[in-house]
Amino acid sequence: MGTRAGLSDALLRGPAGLVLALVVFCGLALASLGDDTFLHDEGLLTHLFAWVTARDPAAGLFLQKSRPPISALYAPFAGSLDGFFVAHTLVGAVGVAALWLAARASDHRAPLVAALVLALSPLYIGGSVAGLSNTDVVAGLCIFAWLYVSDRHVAAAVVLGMLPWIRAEVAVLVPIVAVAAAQERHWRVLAALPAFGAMYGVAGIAYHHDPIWFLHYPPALPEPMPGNPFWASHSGAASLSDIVTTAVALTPLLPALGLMRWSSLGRLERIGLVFVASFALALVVLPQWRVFNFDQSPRYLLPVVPFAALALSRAVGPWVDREGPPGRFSLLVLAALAGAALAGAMDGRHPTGLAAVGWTALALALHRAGHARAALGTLGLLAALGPFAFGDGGRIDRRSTAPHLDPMIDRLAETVGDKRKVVYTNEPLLASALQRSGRLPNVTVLYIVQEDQRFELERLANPHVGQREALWAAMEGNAYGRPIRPDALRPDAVPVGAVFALTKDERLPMVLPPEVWDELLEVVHPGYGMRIAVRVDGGAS
Amino acid sequence: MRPWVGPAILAAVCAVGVVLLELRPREPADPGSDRRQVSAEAIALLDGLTAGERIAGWSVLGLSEPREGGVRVDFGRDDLRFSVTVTALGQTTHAAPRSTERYALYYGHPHPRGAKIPDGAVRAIMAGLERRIRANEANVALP
Repeated sequence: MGTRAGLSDALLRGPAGLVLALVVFCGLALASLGDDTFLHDEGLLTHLFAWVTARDPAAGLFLQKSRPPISALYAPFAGSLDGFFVAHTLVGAVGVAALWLAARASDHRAPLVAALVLALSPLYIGGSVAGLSNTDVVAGLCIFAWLYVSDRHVAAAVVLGMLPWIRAEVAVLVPIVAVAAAQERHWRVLAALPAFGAMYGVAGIAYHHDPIWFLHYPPALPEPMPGNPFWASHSGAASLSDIVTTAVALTPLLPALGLMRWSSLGRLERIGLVFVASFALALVVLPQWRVFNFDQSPRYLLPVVPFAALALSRAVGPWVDREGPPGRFSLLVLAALAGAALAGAMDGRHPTGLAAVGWTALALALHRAGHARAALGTLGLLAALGPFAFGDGGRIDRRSTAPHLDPMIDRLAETVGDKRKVVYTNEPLLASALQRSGRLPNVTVLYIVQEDQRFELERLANPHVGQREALWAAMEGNAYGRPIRPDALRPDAVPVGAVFALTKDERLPMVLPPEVWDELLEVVHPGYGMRIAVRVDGGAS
Repeated sequence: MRPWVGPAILAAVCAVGVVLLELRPREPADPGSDRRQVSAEAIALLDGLTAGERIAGWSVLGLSEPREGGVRVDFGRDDLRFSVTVTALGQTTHAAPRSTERYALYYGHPHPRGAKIPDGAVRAIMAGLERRIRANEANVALP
């Protein structure tokens, strides 16, 4: 008994817990790498920018859209998609380690709690394997948190100041930290916050020959391309069902924030929770106005996880010593959350939110019955179930994002057989799925760049110094397939017999106008989510 | 009241809610349909057609009998579905795109709503069904 208690104490409090969290995270992440569960368009985008940066560092790094810090980080691994995915997963592991260090430096009773909340986050695991930049910024936030609570405030501020160049939305945290620094008269911290931006901006002047290049070529379109049908068909409003399932895909322990007492929190944890509230509110509300092209993708909300994890660790960590009573209004808060989760579950697929709230209520009951350690174990079990039972709302797995991909590959195989064929596609995952599965080695995939993708790249890159053309040139051979720009997709440039594997996309008529292409494409495999067509001689070529 | 009772009740209520929500009937794939199981005569008229068979590369998803009469065959391929309805000639005033001596064949109900079913697929499937009906209509009648 004593040995068992000693072991669990060593895991909860000591470095053995860090090892456990890293093993759990890396094990779950790498297991899903094998079957491409999380092959994701946005992950391939992170790889694309690393690929471009490896081939033309100046053009890549001084395109703000490329997320320069991580493009530089992953450029050495861009030669192999597997190498990139593994490197990206290891950066996710660095985030877990940094959060454990942050919890320990904050004198948490059980730093393992914070580390496991992140390591078992369904969205964090999937995003890390997929290559999503959202998990890179989470790792950056964990490093910021560790430096901040270790009293290395200036270094923390430099790191934080860099993060908006990975994900612009985390800039919300910068003014919150700046206000806190001003209150404490930490002027060096205030000066350090814009350090990366200033250095990056100055360095770019030599390349762009423009002192305010970073304003002329911003990191994202301030507003979508005019007339883009993509936005016309996508509602920016969030449904309660989506919000609830997203919340538990971040971590099923999120309702346990209701057990927290504000008075027990440290400085960083309070700053973090202010950030969590303002960030979540902004990300749920902003998409309604299309600001900075945000939509309702759950992955945008990942930055709330490390700060929620620290607050949870502070709240329930003392339960290991049978201390730290839950907040006075915990039951009321959980009851309100249960009501919201129930309402959300009415039009959702699975009542995962309600299950998470109920489980948390069980932990509260156990604690109030005097079984604090059992209550902690109950929450631990809930976290452990996360990757297996609560990931549905994350919507980053291939089954959710591209359900048509496998039928597309099957139909494509029926169409091309073993003949050497050129396949034009607007499906971003087709080339990498074929390459990674080893299917259809006789097929060369050409990726049809959509009009709004061309618009964005050309709006954000500098034509006067040759950056636009340098970027197009550096993209050759990337994981999407050889890029075909919209203006190059003309009937006279596409040979008769070429195959088109097309995903349903409202933007497609902008690059394949029906009045030109309908009579030139014979649909051989119809479908709603995808279709396969063959270029025929319609007499117009 | 003991302090653990409140959260325990909440946990129990949530658990019951989860079970009930998981057990609730899912929305039918084709909401609004009002159909019965298909009769032996209808199957015989269609020359023993059963779910799972393929016609022109499309799978038969199922057969049913609408309340208003006739027999409906649902076809699917990947994520696209539509149906062909066979009715006695003269049962409706709509012009039938295809017919036999005694029966009219109609197509519709594309799913997802608004999906376009290729003309070639519709033609081939209707022709396949017509052949089956012509072979059996002298001996079998729909109820």
